[in-house]
Amino acid sequence: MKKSIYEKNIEALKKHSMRTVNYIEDKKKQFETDREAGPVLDDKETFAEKGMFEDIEIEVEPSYEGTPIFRVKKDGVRVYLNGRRDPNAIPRLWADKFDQLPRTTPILMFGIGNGSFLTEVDKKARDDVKIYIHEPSLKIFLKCIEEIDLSHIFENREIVISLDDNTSYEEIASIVSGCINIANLEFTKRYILPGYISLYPGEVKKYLEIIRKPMDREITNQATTASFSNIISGSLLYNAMYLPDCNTTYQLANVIPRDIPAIIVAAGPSLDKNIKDLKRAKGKAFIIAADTAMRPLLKEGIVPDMFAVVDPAKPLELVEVPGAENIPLVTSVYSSQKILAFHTGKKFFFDEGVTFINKLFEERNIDFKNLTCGGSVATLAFSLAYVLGIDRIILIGQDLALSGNKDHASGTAPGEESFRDLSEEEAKKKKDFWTQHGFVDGEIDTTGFIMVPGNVEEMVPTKSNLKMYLNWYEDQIKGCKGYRPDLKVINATEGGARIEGTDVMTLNEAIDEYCGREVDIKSLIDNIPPAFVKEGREKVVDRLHNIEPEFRKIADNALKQIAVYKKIDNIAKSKGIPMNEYRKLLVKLEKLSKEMLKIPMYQLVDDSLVDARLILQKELLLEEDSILEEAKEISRKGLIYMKLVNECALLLADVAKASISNVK
Amino acid sequence: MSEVDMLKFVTELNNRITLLCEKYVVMNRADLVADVKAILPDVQKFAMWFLEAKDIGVSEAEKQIMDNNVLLMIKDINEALEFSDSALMYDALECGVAQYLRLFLPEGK
Repeated sequence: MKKSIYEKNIEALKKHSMRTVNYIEDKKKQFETDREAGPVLDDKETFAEKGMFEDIEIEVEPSYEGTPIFRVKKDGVRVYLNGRRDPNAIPRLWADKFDQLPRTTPILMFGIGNGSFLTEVDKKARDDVKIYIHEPSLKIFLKCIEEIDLSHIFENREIVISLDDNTSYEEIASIVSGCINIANLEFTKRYILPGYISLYPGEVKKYLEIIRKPMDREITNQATTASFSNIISGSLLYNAMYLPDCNTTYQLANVIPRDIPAIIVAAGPSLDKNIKDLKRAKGKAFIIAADTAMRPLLKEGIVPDMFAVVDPAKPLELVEVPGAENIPLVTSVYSSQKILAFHTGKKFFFDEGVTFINKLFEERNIDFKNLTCGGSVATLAFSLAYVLGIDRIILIGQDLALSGNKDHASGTAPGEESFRDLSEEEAKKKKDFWTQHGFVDGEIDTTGFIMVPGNVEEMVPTKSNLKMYLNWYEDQIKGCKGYRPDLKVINATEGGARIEGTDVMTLNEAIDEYCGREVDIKSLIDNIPPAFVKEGREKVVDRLHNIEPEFRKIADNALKQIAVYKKIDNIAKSKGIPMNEYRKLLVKLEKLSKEMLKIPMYQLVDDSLVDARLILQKELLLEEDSILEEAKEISRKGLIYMKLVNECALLLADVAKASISNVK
Repeated sequence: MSEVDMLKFVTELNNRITLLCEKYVVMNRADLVADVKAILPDVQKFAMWFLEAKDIGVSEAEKQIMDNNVLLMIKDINEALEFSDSALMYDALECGVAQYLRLFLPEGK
């Protein structure tokens, strides 16, 4: 019996979109059951009914040339999803240059309509271009697969389909995060199909917000990594010297009680209002301070239980306060080497995906867990409190906005008295230094800033980086509460931007409600032994001593690859390419490359050359027209990159020699 | 209207429609219906002129078909206006009116 269009499409969807098929079939069964049970209910609130009884009407009409087009009526809006004369005009225009899209480029579509855009994409784009369709209406999706045969596309292309009813926006963000990277970002295509803006304006807005976040994050991550790449690897090697005697955040989980609150102290301007109240919480909460909050806290005589650093470029002066050096520190391995050198107390590291460090712990069966950093010390501290199992997290100084046209609490940077004994020129240099690090003296002009809802004021001005952290908090809190519904996040900032998902109260109210039990956190932390002991420690020291030789091995390998690339270059310059010889050289390159990748310290070299790697990655996505052209490009780029690898590896070898080669 | 004036009118109207439709396609969130309101009187003017034109170099039967098409374009434009339907408006203008305008432009335009 001939299959219907619907059956053909469903069969084809099973190849790559089983989740969508299962969802549709479950909904259809539910619909049949409900229909047999009796009259259709007026209350359309139940989830099962929503998809089938979505209040839209879809009419299928023939276009003037006879192809089926959809006209949709919803909430008083009535629009076509295609033109009557040339239904494929817009899809054809959009897809016009798709044959030039590089491999694995993502195409994000909001809406499937009558499948015409999907058809045009399929005609033009190469097979490995990824297509992600989000369809807000199950009804439209069903109508499409009932009327239009797209089975050949569903079967042969990997298409990710999300339907509004069965996919949360967080999942969409996750899908988009997974497919976008800095190399393909500029090629990524994003389309809202005609008619959908009128039919689903709220959903379109939300979708665009959701997909923009991972794109922005990718750009920010890359920009951050690129701007820090020069110091990241250097700091990492210097900081590695602390590994033999270090602690891990996992060790904290065994000692910090979960039934006391954590108080995360950031250095937003509202900290001025309630910093003195924090004294009442000492000994009754686990107090973790951001690095920028250390000066104001210690000035008030409040010693936090821990503080956090994460930024490789943060100046030492931020925390260089007597007493700070002994307070336990949770730190990234990439943090400022000067701060870590100043600090003599316990250092707690966490898993940041640095292979050679992770291996140190793995080989000794020591638990080493990661934390979601979020991009700032305060967000890192929040993550720490959460993974320790603490269900009451109190935020103070977390303005994420400007208050009184200031962006930091008083006393975070050295005050005027610090410059009193300096000459005018020296004082100006110091002030410029702090301004460069984001500490602006006096009020800031907030004209043109983003306005967001406040905790106390109706709206408050914020900057784009603070808005990013605000979004992070809201996403994290929502996600964390999904796993632990008992989690309470209390925003006791008493100012600043409103964080969705938090309870707003003053610090005094939060202390009265949550800080009952007394506990000696200092003793608990003091008694945590180092992660590596005796023989384990010796092996870690040996490993560190072997790092310099590994960099030199990488440098040698790079020289060998340069020699091969030069041979390819010579071949490419001759009129004809002897294919056997070319292939042999490529095989040799592949072998050398694999050997290099196996050297654990290559990761650091790679991290240091992020800009060069970006260029190379982009070029790899474009292909040359002929073998000759390809060979020329391979040798040109390979020579550039391997020379950089060689130089970088030698530099890092020298840094390793100066830092960790003599660790005892 | 003289032939020269007509050519100028048709050229300008074609350019305006092309620009607005390009904006709609490229920007993907533009509201074409809101954007085209300003040019609609000229679109109607062209349509009236076309319907009244006697000798445009086609047979009577072909002219009849084209007249019907023009009436359909106006009908679609009005419908698109009524329902703020940008997809229908694009189709009526770019795939309808603009195609007829271009019949009167010198070759190559």
